[in-house]
Amino acid sequence: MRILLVDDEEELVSTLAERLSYRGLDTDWACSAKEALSKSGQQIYDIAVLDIKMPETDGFKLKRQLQENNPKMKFIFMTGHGSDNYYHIGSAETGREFYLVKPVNIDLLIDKLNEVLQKQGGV
Amino acid sequence: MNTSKFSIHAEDGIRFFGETTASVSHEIKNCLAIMNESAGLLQDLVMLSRKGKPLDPERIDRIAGQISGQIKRADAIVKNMNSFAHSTDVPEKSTDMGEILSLAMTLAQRSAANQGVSIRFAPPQEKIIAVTHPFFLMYAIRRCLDFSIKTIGPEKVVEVMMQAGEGNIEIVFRRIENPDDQNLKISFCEKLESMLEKLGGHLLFHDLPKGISLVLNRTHQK
Repeated sequence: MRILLVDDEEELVSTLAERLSYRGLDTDWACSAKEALSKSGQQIYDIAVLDIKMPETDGFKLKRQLQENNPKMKFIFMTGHGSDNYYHIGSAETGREFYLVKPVNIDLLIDKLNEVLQKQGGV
Repeated sequence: MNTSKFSIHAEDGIRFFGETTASVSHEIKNCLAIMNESAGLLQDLVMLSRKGKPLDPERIDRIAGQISGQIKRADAIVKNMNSFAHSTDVPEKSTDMGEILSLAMTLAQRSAANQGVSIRFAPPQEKIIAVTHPFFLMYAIRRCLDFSIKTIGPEKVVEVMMQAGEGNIEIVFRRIENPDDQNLKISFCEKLESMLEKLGGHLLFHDLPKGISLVLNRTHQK
């Protein structure tokens, strides 16, 4: 499983990526939509964990752009913003069980990563 | 003020309070998420050291620094939130206008960034003190900024400054305007009308360079 974490908070994504790598997960990270798109153009990721609110874009738009590079890519949303509107859009995009609110427990995230790959068609 | 004008500004004032607190809580959540991962990383490193991987003191020091940096960041956010919440305490009071503008800009920063817009704010060179209602002033400032962002051109920068003149205090918002968005001007003016009545002020639209001024008929108290 190759994972891409995207969040404009660099300390968050870099630390989370390191922790996932200690658990044997091949994880890369990006701090902007531009960086995420550039990385996904160079490598194949099975799944992306996307922040919803980021400067200049949102996770929903980024999801669609990433899917253009890799239509098989799966997604989980991770947000600090618990608004009903985002919850409904996020749930519609990926299923409500794959819309996580920060701070996220790493074991729960790993469960969701495995689950999303199984539920949405596997790697 | 008639009932319908009052309900427009009460509704939009509540919306402004909600938008601001939601944005602040989002910022705090980010700080908590970073602290959560940093603390988790420390636990991971301890676990690895129990399996024989030596602990690097420099690494531990950096992670501890990351946590204390986020505590300072969250503390500043909560301090701003507290000042914002207390802006509703009294109807009118003697207010440091530069401080209020600075607080309003800080609270709007993330929302502007999420729309790809930078705010260039120059605080006034000397203290400008006047009697006003701090909450309603911040509300009017925020709506002027929102309008500036909604009608912004490709440069994506809003410059904000404050100056005290003869019998008035002016807050200026400048940006390159998108010419297609003139209709927004009408609804923006209508929405702010009753608020400006309450604050004792008016709007001025500038052509060269494009901008808006929020002008308060207030005397700067030296």
